[in-house]
Amino acid sequence: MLDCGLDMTSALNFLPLPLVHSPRLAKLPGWVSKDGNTFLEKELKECAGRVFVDSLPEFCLPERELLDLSTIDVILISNYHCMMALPYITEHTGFTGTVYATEPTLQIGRLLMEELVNFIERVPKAQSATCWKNKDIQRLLPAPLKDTVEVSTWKSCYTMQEVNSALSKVQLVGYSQKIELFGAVQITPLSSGYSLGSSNWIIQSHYEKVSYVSGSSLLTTHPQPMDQSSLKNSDVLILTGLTQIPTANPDGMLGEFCSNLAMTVRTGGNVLVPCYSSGVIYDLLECLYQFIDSASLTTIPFYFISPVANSSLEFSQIFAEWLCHNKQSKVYLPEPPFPHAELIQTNKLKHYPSVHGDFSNDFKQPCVVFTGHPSLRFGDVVHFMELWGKSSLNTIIFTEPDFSYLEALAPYQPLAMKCVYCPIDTRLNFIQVSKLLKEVQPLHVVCPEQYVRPPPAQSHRSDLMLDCQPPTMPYRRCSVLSLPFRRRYERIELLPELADSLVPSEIKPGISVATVTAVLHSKDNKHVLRPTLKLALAPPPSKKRKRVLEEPPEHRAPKPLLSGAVPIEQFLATLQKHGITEVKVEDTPDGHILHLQDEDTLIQLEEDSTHIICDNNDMLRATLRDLVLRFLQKF
Amino acid sequence: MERECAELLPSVCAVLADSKESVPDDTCLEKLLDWFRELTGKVPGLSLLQQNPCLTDLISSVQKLSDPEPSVLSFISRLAGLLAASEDAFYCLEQSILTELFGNRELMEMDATVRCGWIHGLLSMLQHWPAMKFILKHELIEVILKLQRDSSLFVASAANQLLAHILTFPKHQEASPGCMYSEWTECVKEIARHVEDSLESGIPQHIQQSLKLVTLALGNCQPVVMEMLWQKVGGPMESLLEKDPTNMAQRLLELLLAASRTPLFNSADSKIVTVMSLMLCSLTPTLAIPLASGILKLENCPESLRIKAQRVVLHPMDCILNATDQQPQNAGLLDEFVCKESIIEDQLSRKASCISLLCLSLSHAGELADVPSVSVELTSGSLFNSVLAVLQLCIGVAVPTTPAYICRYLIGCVRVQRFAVDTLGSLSKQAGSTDFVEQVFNILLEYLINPDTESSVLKKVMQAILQWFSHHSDLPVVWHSLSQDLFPVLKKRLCDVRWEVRDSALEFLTQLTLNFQGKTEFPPILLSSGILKLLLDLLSDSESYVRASAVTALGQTAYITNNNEENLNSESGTSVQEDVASRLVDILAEDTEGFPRRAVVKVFADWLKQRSRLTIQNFEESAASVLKYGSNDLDWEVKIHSLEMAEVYINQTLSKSISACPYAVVQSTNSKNETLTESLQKLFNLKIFEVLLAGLYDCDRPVAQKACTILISLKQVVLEDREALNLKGLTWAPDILSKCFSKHSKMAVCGGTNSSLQAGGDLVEILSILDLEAMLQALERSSDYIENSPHSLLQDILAATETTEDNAIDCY
Repeated sequence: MLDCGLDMTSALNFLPLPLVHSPRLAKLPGWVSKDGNTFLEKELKECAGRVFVDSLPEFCLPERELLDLSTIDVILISNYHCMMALPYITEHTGFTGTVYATEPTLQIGRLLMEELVNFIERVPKAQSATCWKNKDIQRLLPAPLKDTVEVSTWKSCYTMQEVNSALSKVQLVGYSQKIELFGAVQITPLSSGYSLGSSNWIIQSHYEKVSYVSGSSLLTTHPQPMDQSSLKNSDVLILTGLTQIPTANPDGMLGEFCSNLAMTVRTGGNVLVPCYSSGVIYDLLECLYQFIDSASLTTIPFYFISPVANSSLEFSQIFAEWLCHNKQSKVYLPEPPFPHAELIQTNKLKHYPSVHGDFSNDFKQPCVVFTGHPSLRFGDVVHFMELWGKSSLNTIIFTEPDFSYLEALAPYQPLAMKCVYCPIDTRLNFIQVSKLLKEVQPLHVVCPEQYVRPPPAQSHRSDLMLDCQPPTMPYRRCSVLSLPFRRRYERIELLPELADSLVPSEIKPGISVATVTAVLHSKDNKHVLRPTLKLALAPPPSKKRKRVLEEPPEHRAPKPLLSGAVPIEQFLATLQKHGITEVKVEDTPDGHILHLQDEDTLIQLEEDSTHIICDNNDMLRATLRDLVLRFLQKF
Repeated sequence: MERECAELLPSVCAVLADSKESVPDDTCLEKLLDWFRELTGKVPGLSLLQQNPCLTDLISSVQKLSDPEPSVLSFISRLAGLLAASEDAFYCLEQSILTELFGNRELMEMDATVRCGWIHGLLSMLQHWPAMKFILKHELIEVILKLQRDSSLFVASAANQLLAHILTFPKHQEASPGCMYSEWTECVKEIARHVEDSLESGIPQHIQQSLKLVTLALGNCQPVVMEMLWQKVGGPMESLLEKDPTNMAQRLLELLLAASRTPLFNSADSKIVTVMSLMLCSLTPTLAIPLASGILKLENCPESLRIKAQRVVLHPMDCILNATDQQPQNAGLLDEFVCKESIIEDQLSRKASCISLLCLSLSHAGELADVPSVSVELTSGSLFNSVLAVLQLCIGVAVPTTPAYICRYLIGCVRVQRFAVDTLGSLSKQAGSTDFVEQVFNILLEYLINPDTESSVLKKVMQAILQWFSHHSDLPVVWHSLSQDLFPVLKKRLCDVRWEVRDSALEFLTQLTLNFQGKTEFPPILLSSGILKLLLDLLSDSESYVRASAVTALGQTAYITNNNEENLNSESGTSVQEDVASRLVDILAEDTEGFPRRAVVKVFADWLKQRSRLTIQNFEESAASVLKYGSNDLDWEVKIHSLEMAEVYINQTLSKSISACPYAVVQSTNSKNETLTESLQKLFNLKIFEVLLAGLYDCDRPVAQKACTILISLKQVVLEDREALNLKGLTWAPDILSKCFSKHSKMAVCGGTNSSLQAGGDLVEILSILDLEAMLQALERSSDYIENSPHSLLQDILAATETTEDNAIDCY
């Protein structure tokens, strides 16, 4: 299984979970259907003209119906954002396999899961809404609830116990490390340049190579640069995780982020940045580190609020080997690789596990707050939305591309605070992918069908689609593709003593052939040719054994193999020498038929067979056979 | 010629004439020639020769050398030509030198430098009929024509110039002596035949050179020569166009454009119009567009050709318009095409040619807006729409119907964006409806908002907005757009991460304020925008250019904010105008970079000039501080601006005392002097004289120069009325004077005056003691005037030859 991501956009249909009691949210009217039916008014609430589910948010899991997930042997994880559904798979499907991931992926993935669990668990709700999911009822609901698909499969958040259990199944790997899977294939993670420890995977046998490219970046940000050269010579390249916002150039967005931030705080407003606790935030902080001096914003406090804020900031500093060269070299000075250490040291950046506690004592305005969750449905960000939403001096800047900002803001309307959308997605865009594919030249490219046509909202943008040669093999949800290659060859090992016994004979210059007689041992998809055991050497069957042992193969000297072609003119001359003169030669599509008229015998000479047909004259047959054999090589 | 130069010249000539001496480098010889060129402009050539016989000796002795250095031989040819440019000198040199030098065909076998020098010599000499006679008599034309096909491009090009000079030689027929004119006409015919031969030769280099020659000559020659040349050129040119239109296209194009500016253009026989028309169709679009642009600038251009040229320029734009037009029934930009559509489409189908073609078309389309006859025809808005379409494509907001690849080429293409924005800006001059203006603002705002817009494009976008605002400020939509759309975006751009963008935004704001401060609509919009608060913040920007621009912008906005007291109490106003002046003084005192400090002094100088428009509190105090800090600044430009500010003060103060109202009762001399005394006293209190005197002895020459100029004009005013002035009390600046004089005690102008000044003198005394005029003269010389003097050059040449091996080692 390649990656195990969790679709959290389903949470957008739920009401936000406020950290402190919100009279506004508490007073929302229940939803009443057009015919005046009120049976769902406890489950659904109307807010700003839309209907939301008043319950703990639920998430949409990976497809589970298509195949039995317990049969999965291995899950390969590309980056920490692509493992959020892991507990659902490993804990509830009978999964017994292994998960492979790099260490930063595991550690930061754990932080993100821990944060998610914490966000949800700290604001428990007495009841959970289930009635609305009934298909007959759902049909009657207003959009977008009416249109959501497979709501029955939505699940509430996992627990910390499940997270720990799931993560205990992770086997850590390092970049370029080769891991044998059941002897059948070898997998290798390669740096993908997107986030700390993010990987692309090579899955290869001796003769076939499949690359899985997911969430890669060619930009110079904090992670180790993408390893492109190892992707060359792939039979199939599975491509996914391209940028979600191809029209937004990360550099431009970073500039927008900074200028909007500066503009807001200069006019006395606060800035709220809903973000994940790891990833782009490191780059944002680094960018701000340089920007605040140049923009004279050194007096403005920056707050990072997350249950895992401290761990995230500290983890980033210790994964030196997973960082880009510049940051790695800082470690030897020794200096912290990320400048946020200095921001913390100089008190410009302060981090807190939650808005409760120390934060409320230190809180000064105007300020900039980084906090989760980007969906604005849970986490400390909900509190700030309630607090700052009413003033037009404040600004919320969206930097994470995973959620539609308009959807995210829906339950907070009407909103006076300014809203800026600066999605920063450093993953490959279509120009970069085209260059990459030209460079690595895979034989086939497999990708989601969304990548081979322009975005629906911008159907004229032919530059926003994958256009490569040979054409890609697009897939859609639940489609089953057969990859365009067959395993034709297997590598077989020859033991040295067997190799010693071979007698090669040269059939063409540079090409020698030898017959091999051996026993093929196949175990764990590894094949070994061993010398045949002589009968004498075979251990005598134990009398105690009831089971009949297979008889070892009979040891017989192999018949020599023949090669070459019979030259017709010379063969006729030879026949003549042996007194066979009356020969009628007939050409056939495959060779010749020689009719020995006096003997009433036929010799069929074909490319790969020779037949001598004569009635009851074995002597003649043997003579003719020997004459034919004279022209062929034996080995 | 200065005496000391005249003394050194014989030795220099001896060095040059001596084949054993090492030759000075080419630069020295060039400088020497420049000096002689300057001299011959001032002194008649003959007297120069008579006063310096060494020159004639030099020329004749180098000629006689068995193995002369090519560079020296070239030098003497050019020198001889320069000297012989005057008729008297020519006669003097003709027999002894010129015949031997320019008649020597062996020189043609030598180095290219020698041939080049030979041609340049003749070119310099050919200023009079005797020189022409000399050329014809010695049959030099034949040689020159041969040199026109020389393998060295420098020689060939120089020969072309000489031939062109011969062709354009007589300005008036009657001025020629005797039968010279007819001889010259024969010579012209020979050249014309040569040109014809070259054009028909099929050898590209020969054709190129001859086309260049005709192009050079056509601009200045007599009509008769023009016709003669054109007769020979016309036929071969047409066949060239048929055979090889691409290789010679550039040269043919230049020739045609040159010919089109002559009377030939309108003559029926010349066929220029026909050929041009033919070329518009046959040339590749990248060459046809510049030709078309040239045609459009022609006066008296036939209507049909002009329309054709216009179609050529606009064809690529038409393609873009069609590619983005969702309604195919809409009329395009053009009703007919000159080039085949497939050619343009082919060019547009490749990225590099698509971009360069569009840039070319856009830049020339912008020029079309300035051609009055064309602009009338284009008011339908189609050109305007096509430029808008390009801009929309470049940021991906337009939907190309077909072909889709254009979209891929243009999105984010900075080059096309720059040209398109410029063109849109130049279209602002045309009358536009509200609808048009709205469309323009919308697209320009899209660019301003787009985070990926490159900083140079942003700057151009702001310039274009300014142009459109300026031309259409009578439309209400402008003001609405300014307050609702532009200022909010501008605020963001003022906080941009790129300093270039912040800087451009500030410059734009300054220009906007400057252009619209007189309009009643503008001040309220600016004051309520909250931009002024950002401007104050930008005074402490990390980039010095931005700080400087913020200072300038605040300087300009002060005229609005200060005169809108009622608005200042609003939320945005009060905090902004708290104390701009004192903030600026702080910058001048503390900023480590020169640019912001310069800006501060300039702003104060400007405020001072227009102080009637300002009501800044404590302005006098602040201005005095600016003067104090500015004059003591380390940056010479800050000091100059401070002196300019002092000059404004002086002019304002003195003009009050001097100027009298024409209808007022005539002032008595006494009262006039009293006012002058008061004024000077005021300047004294402002310590302006200290500033001026300190400037006078400043280590930076321009500062001293400025101070000196100001003091001279002050002196004129003061000395005029010295008797009546009562300046007894003003024993000013003894300290500063003593300091200055002790520093510059060796200065000749002040020698011997120290004692009297140290005791403290009054203004009149000091101004009369200081020999300001002599000081100014000394200051006007650049610091390297000695190194650049001919005397120094001659010394250098001599010194170089005296360098022995030992010397060289020592120097090393």
